[in-house]
Amino acid sequence: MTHPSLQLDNTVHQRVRLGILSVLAEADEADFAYLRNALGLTDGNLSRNLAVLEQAGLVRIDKRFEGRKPRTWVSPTKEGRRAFAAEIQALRDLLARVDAVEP
Amino acid sequence: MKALRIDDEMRPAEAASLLEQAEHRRERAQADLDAFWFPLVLFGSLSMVAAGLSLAVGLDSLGLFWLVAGPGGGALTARHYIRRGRRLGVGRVGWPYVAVSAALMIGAFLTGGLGTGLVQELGPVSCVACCYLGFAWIERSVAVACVALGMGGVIAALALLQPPATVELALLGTGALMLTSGLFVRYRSEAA
Repeated sequence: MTHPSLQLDNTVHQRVRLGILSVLAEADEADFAYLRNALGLTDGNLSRNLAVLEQAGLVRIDKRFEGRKPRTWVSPTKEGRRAFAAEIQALRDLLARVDAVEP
Repeated sequence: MKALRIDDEMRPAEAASLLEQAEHRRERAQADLDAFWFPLVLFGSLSMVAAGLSLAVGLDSLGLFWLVAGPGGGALTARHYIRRGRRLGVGRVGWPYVAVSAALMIGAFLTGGLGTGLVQELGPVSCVACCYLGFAWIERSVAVACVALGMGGVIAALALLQPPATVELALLGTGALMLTSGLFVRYRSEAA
């Protein structure tokens, strides 16, 4: 059996990116400002991490105009939902393994 | 998948902290998405109006009433969800709500229109209770599931007792339950 650490995906595992996927696991879409406020990030930090997730095919980013104002919406892809669920399971497995070893 | 190397092996405390944060963020997003008080209050009020209408005008008026009030209330609910989603910047896709609402309308009209006896009297509200379980699943809401089960309890009691004016009592009972639950959820979330 492989160690649960090896099941962790570096792209998803990073704290900010896991936070983004946590929000998107519950909501089907969230806008840039909501994610920034919910995760307490700067615009630049959120942009960088969203770009990583988009490049990995884990989120979709849509720019829509509401009136004259552009608004960026982020939604999870099927792969993103799967990766998030796998990451959570891997973290739980890791903790269960520790609990089993420790008296 | 780019896995962590074995020398990157994470500490259990870090894993626990990540899990806790993920759960906290999911809960916060869920709280922000929680808007079900509006359809509970709206359709609870409409059910009570329907009970009064049935007593005043007759049972036959209910079909026409719900033919207008059902889609009308659905449209108002959709508007409430869309506007709230735009204001907060977070939302859910609409098609599961539309699918469950369509099943509710079709089920209620079929049982009310084609059924006889208890099926005709309690079929429509039973469809509503079942579909509210569907809404509870979409919303991942224990409160909505409790409302659906409470409606089931009202329907079961009426089916056992079979009092006069069963339809009106079903509408009044489930309507009052929806209205009070909706108001309770609304003021509880405001207080939080």
